[in-house]
Amino acid sequence: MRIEWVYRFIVKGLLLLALSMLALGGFTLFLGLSLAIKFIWIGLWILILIPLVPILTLFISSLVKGDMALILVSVVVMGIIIANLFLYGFGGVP
Amino acid sequence: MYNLLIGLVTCLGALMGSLLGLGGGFLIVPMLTIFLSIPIKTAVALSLLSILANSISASVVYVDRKVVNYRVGLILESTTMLGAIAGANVNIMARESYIYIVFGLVLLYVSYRMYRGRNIGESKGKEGGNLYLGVLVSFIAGFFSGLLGIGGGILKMPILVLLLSLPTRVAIGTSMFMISITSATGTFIYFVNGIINFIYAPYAVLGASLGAQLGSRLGFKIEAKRLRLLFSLVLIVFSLMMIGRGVGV
Repeated sequence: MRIEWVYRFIVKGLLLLALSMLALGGFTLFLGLSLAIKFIWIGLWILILIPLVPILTLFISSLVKGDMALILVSVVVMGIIIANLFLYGFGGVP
Repeated sequence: MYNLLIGLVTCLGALMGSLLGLGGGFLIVPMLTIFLSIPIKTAVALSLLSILANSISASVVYVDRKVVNYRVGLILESTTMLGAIAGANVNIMARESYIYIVFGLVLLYVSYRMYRGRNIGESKGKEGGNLYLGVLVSFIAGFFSGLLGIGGGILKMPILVLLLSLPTRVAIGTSMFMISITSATGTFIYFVNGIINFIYAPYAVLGASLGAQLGSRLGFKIEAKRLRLLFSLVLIVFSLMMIGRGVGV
């Protein structure tokens, strides 16, 4: 899987999804609906987790190529992100 | 109406930041705190969130142009992320006045750099350079990013070009790739600690995204030297106001 494709289709798509969720949240907030917070919460989570996608892709492609150095650093970076998730949780679901 | 003002301010901050080749955090945080009286911790979290959206968007372009060195980016990011986590936690624990003062001092340094207007230059050595020092300095870049809600490109670029001898255009792409991960880490800490204001967040992100897009289109039409001089003065005023708030003047 090429990283350029992942960025062009998946990352771009997820970014658009996150921005749409935030826009929807902002609009429903403007209308005074309580549903707004849920949209914003989902949008923020998508935005925060997007950088995990290219790192995961780099990890998989380095596994295929057998590039040990890249496997190691991607595991370290992903490990920090996942450790953070376990350490801090999900910050209270609205 | 107030929410729309937040969108407008982040739009202006990102627009000016984009014209200057900065992420916008240096302008968004002072503008939110000075003009809209938003508490600095909330402003820092909103700024980091806006930078996250903009850096992901910019990364798509740089990856497409194949100017990202993933290996170097990920190696440096392992400590930058730890720095961002530390910085964000220090921000949450520290008194607001201290953050105002540190922000003001860093802003003074940025305005000086902008006034001098010198490029950091091209790399002279062979690609590779001093990776150990780069990894250490990256922690500091991450710390300031998490603490002050900035992308930290102003610190990452010298690391990538001078210490690791990457060509400038690769350094820009790699820096943006790194900023997206660092800002996501910092934003996460603020998010789970309830510092991100859900009411302001969508307006801040959408405003900043619009501003960055406008800035990248306008950038070529404005004379860079005058613009740099003007904004270095603006940044000095902002930095003095931030320090003034910190010391209670």
